[in-house]
Amino acid sequence: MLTFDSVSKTYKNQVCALDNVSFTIERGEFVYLVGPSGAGKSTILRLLTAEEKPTSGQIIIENQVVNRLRRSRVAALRRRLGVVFQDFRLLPQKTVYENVAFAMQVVEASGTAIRDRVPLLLELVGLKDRHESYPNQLSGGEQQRVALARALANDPGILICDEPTGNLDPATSWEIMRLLSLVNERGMTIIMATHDSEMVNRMKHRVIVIENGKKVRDRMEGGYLN
Amino acid sequence: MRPHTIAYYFREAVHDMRQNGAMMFASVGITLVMFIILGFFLLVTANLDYMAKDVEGKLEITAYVSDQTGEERIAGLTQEISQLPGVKSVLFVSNTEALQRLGERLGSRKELLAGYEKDNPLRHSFEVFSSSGDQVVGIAERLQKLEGIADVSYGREEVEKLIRMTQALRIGMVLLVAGLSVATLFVLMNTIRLTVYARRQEIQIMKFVGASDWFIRWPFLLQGMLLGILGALVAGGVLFLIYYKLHNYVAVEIPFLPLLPITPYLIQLVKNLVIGGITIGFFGSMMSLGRYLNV
Repeated sequence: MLTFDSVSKTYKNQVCALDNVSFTIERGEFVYLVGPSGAGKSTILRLLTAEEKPTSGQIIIENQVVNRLRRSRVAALRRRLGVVFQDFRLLPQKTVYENVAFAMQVVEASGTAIRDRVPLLLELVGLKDRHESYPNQLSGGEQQRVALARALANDPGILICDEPTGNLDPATSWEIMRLLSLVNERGMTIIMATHDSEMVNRMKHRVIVIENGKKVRDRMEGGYLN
Repeated sequence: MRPHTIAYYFREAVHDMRQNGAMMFASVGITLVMFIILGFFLLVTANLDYMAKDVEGKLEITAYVSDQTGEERIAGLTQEISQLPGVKSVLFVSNTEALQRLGERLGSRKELLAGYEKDNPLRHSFEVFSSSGDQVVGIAERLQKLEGIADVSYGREEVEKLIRMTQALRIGMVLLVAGLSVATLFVLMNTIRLTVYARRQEIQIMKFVGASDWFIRWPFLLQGMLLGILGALVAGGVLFLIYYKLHNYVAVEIPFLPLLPITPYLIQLVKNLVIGGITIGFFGSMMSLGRYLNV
C-alpha cells in the first residue's frame, strides 16, 4: 500500500539526504525507521507527507503517486495520514477535547460526527476524564496521548510517528508504545522513526535502518543493531 | 461550503479582530483617512468635470454689430446667422436692451448708468447659441467674417482652462489612487500578518491534518475585507455628510455654481469606496498568508 521506489533527495544546499532508497510497506505493518541523527529518517517522513518532493524516484501511497500530486490534492492525501511529532504540537489555548475536535473541524466534519467521535478517541487513549484540561496541565506522556488521539481523529489509514517517545521517560514511552501496538492491532499501518534502541529490541517489529541516506538493512522482527 | 463552516470562518475572524483590537482599530483608522483623501479628490475632479460640461452646455457667442450698421442689414444678419451650421438659435439684443440688462446686474448701484440712456455707449449684439460645445470655435470664426459684425467673443479660454485643470487633476488623482491603494494594502497586510503569526501553530496543524488552503485562508481574508469595508464605510459616511452640507450651502449662497447632485453620484462614490476596500482587504490578506501556507 506504500512504496518508495528508488527515491533520492538532494536539498538545495547540495546535501544528499536520501540516496536511491526503495521499500514497500503493506497494510497493517508496524515499521521502525532507525538510524543516527541526520541519516535521512526525517526526510523520508517529510516525503510521505508531501512536505518535500523527491529529486528522483517515486513515492506511492494507496495507488497515488505522492510526488506528482497537485497542491490541492495534498490536503486530501494528508487526511489519510495521521502524524505524531516528538514535541506533541498541541495548541496551548485549547483544551484536550478542543485539540482533538480541531482536527475534525478543519476538515469540515459535521458537529454530530465530532461530538460522537472525540469522546471515543479520548477513551481509547485513556484521557476521558481530562478532556477539559489544557496541555500545560498534563504530563508529557498525557500530551502525547492527546496528540495520538488527534492523529487518529480523521480515521487515517497510515500513522506516521516522528520520534514519538523522544521527549518521554522510559515508563511513559512504554505507555505510548502499548497504545501504538493497540492501534496497530486494529489494522493501522504505522511508520515510526526512532532512536530508542531498547524499545526497538524489546518490542519487535520490522526495522528499516537508514545510514548516510542509504537503506542499509531491512529486517522483519529485527533489532536495533542486527 | 457548509453553513456551519461559514459560521466558523466568521467566528474565527471576529475572535482574531478582538484579540488584536488596537491594531485593527489603527488600521481601520489609516484605511479611513486614505479613503477620505481618495474620495475627496474623486469628488473635486468629478465636480470640475461637471462644471466644465455645464459651461460648455451654456456656450453662447456674442457677436457685436458695427456702429454704422443699418436696420436692414441687421435683419439680414439675423437671417444669415441662424443659417450657419451648428447654430441652435439667435437672439438680437439692441443696445437699449443691453443697457437695461447691465442696469439689472448692477442692482442698487444702477444710478451709475444715469445719463447713458440718451447717449448709449453700448453696441447692438447677437447672442448665438451653438448646439454643441465643439462647434463654438467654428461658428465664432464664421461670424467674424460676416459684414456688419465688429467683434466676436465667447468663453473659450475659460472652458479650456477648466478642461486643462481637470486633466491635470485626473493624472494626479490616478497617481494618488495608486499610491494610497498600495499604502493601504501594506497596512492591512501587516495587520493581518500579526494574526497569521499568532495562529502559525494552528495553521501548521491544519495543514498536517489535511485542511484545504482555502479553509485556512477564509478567516484571514474575512478579516482583511471587514477592515477594508469598515474603513471605506466610515470614510464614505464622513464624505457624504461634508458634501451634503457643502451642497446645501452652495445651493443657497452660490446658486450659479453647479455641483454634482447627491443622488446618484455620492451613493455611487460610497459604493465604489466599499468595493475598493473589499478588494484591498482581500489582496492584503492573501499576501499576508504567503509562506505560512507552504507547509
